[in-house]
Amino acid sequence: MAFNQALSTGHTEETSGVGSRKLAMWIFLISEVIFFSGLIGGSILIRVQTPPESWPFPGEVLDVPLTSLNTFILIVSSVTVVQALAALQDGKQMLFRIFLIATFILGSIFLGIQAYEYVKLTGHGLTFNSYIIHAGGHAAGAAAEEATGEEHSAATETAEAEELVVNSPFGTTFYIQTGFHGAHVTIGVLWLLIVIIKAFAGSYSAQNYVGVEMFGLYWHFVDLVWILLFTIVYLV
Amino acid sequence: MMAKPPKHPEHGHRHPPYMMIFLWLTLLTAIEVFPVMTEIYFGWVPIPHHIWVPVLLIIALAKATLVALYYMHLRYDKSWLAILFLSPFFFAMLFGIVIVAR
Repeated sequence: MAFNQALSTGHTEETSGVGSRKLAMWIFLISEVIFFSGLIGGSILIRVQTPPESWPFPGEVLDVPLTSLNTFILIVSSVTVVQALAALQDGKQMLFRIFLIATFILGSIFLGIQAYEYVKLTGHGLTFNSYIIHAGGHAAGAAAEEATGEEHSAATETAEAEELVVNSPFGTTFYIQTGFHGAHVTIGVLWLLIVIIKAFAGSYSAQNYVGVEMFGLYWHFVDLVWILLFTIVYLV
Repeated sequence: MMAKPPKHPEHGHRHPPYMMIFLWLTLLTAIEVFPVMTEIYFGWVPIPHHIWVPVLLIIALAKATLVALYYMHLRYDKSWLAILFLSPFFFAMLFGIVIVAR
């Protein structure tokens, strides 16, 4: 009887001092840490073995301001998840559901911005093997800025005409790292949808919150990985 | 540094300082992107890139640790969980440092 009750609430305590469902989630997350560590480590190795002139500076190819906004959105979504759990534990069901819906919206916005970024970057020539920059870099840009009127349009055309295709594995590391992360966010949003449906069906309570807690662990992990990826991919 | 989270009177749940952690994460993110933003919008590089990179990595690790300790509740859970969870990241970073130092 007690065992059945424990199973229904998820409070099955093992000798490890951690509930069995939660322990399973942690083992899964640790395997995910190993996966992403390998991915990040491999990308660092590729970068170090690539000549510096074949690797763009931050902001040269990627849209750092837009992704900074996306990073902030994901951080806010982590707050709404912990606030949802806290509201549930305090017995505030309505607040709990509002925070879950807010998280769903924020996660969807994150994915939307990432999809927009992919479309924009592929349109600007970022492929797995190469990226495009303006030949002469600052010099061409300065010439276009200093010119006025007809001269300006002529200089701009010249700058645009001097686009240079750089062969580089930068696109490979970018798409693989952000793509795998985006897939994890997508799974998280779908999982959250199930949690929201169960929340409105009254499946969770102040005593039965392990399901929400496990989703929260996954979501925070996704946030944590993005914090590292944002720095390594976009800023370093 | 952080105050001990208050105990819920009925269920005994402790709520860590979630909003304080959020403010720290926001502040650290703003510090991270500041030099890139000034370079993009004003063409001004306040700190040389090679000096700024180690600082960026430390800030990113600090942010990740804050999320793990407070949002994933590792600070209030069993300590072996934190060691198991964070050690692969540590080894990946160590690997990265060794590769870069070669």
